[in-house]
Amino acid sequence: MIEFQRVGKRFGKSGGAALEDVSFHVPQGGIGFLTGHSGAGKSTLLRLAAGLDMPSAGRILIAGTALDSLREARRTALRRHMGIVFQEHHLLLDRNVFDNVALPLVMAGYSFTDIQRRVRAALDKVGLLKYETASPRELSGGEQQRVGIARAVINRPSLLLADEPTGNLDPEMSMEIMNLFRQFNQAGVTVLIATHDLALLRELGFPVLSLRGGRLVHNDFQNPRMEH
Amino acid sequence: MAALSLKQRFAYTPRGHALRHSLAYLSRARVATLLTLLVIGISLALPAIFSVLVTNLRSLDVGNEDANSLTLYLHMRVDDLGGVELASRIQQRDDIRMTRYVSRDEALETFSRHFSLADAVDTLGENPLPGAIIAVMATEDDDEARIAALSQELSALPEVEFVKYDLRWLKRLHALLELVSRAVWLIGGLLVMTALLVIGNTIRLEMLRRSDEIAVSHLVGASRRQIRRPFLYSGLIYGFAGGLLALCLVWLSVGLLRGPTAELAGLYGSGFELSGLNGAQSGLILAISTLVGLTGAWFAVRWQITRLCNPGESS
Ligand SMILES: Nc1ncnc2c1ncn2[C@@H]1O[C@H](COP(=O)(O)OP(=O)(O)O)[C@@H](O)[C@H]1O
Ligand SMILES: [Mg+2]
Repeated sequence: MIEFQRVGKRFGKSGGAALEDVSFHVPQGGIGFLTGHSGAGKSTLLRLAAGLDMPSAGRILIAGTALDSLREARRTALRRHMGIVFQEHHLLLDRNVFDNVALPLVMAGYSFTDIQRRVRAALDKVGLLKYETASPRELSGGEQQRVGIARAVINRPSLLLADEPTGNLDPEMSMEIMNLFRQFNQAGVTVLIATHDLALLRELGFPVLSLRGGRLVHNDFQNPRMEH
Repeated sequence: MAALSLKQRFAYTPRGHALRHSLAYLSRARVATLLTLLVIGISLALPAIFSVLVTNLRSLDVGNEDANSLTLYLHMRVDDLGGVELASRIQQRDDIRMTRYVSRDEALETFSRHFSLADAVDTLGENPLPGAIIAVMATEDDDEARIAALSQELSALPEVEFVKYDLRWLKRLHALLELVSRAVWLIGGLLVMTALLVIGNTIRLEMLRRSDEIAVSHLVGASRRQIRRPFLYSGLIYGFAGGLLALCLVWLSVGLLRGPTAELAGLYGSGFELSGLNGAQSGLILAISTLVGLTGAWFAVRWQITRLCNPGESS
């Protein structure tokens, strides 16, 4: 589902490599953690996988399609089949929870009836249906994160990418979020979660990809026993 | 209920969504929006007001005949019969096309329509105005020497007290108006450019303020066209509303100038009335301003969209 072949990424001409010679394959229906210290390249890797940025070397295949073979417009359209939970793409504060979750459906041109039905189902799934008309400002960090997840899965993606989704949440709330991801995975969605929360990593026992200084230093997906 | 759900349905189509959030942004940034609208309105109103004035001054055209005529004021002792005779004699000259005799009574009547001469007439006990002959010249060139010679010749006639070539100033006015109307076009062009830049910069700022929305839309797979749309709508709204404001300003200015203009025209014995914009001209102003809004927004969007969508790629 997500395949990196000797991927490298440099920012600017003189800058060092954020990623170097990274190869791995997360199979369809798999779930895994991407880990490493701050600055190891986790966010960069996820941005590349989402087609938000292009690698400087190597190639990336998503569901068998090489991203570099696509024009920008097609790469953008591909994201309609991905769910993405990134910190820098937080909720929009100028609209209520319903409208935040509805955004991907509006952009995909769904009718209002469909939008209403699906947004309510997604909010229900993350346990926030009662907040549909609330402003995101009124929600706690964990609730906001769950709204973000509802927005990410509203298009029924086949791939879910999350960058430190439990970054500033307490352990209990973190566990709740992870359980959501696990449920989506059990429904067939391929999931890759970047985190540096080692406690969470141990507790859940998902396969792990480890980055250090832009290089992949550990890859559980190479081990057939770990594959789902 | 049906109307509400129709509105709701529209609000969640890509176009309705873009329009809704543009309007919401513009009303949130109320003061900035109003200031921008004022700048646009004034920049578009100024050339429109100038061109209304030029058009009006042009309509002051008294016709070539009048502009090309000499007025011969007669001695008081010349009676109507003598005046009419003299007029027909002058008309026979080759360099005069036609003449018209204005009697002393007619002059008094015209004059007293604008001024109260009753007192003067009472005091003097008689009409103080002389009779006059208006002589239209046969040639229409502006040869000052020829006109001066003709004036001299005519004023040498025993019945004539003096000759005036009054309406020369109208010809000069028309030449001047030609220049002024070109200047109006030039200044108008510059002011329209100003409006374009103001809208462009306003949209640029709006894009920066709404960069979260752009990034999230990009993330969830919105096409470039969809991302551009709300900003083009904002430009369109600025242009259209700015145009409406400009029309109001023109209308207000014409209204304010109408009274004094009528008074001034009355002093010169003219029933001239300042006319404002007609429907076609108003439509043109609205169309131009809307186009300016859209163009300004389009440039801003083109300039900025790549940077805001893909911050990583621009380095
Ligand atoms: N847009 C960018 N421009 C320049 N350097 C960047 C950019 N994004 C990331 N980097 C660099 O790439 C390296 C990896 O960063 P990142 O992927 O954010 O790490 P992580 O998410 O693991 O903390 C860091 O050294 C960071 O400074
Ligand atoms: Mg990061």
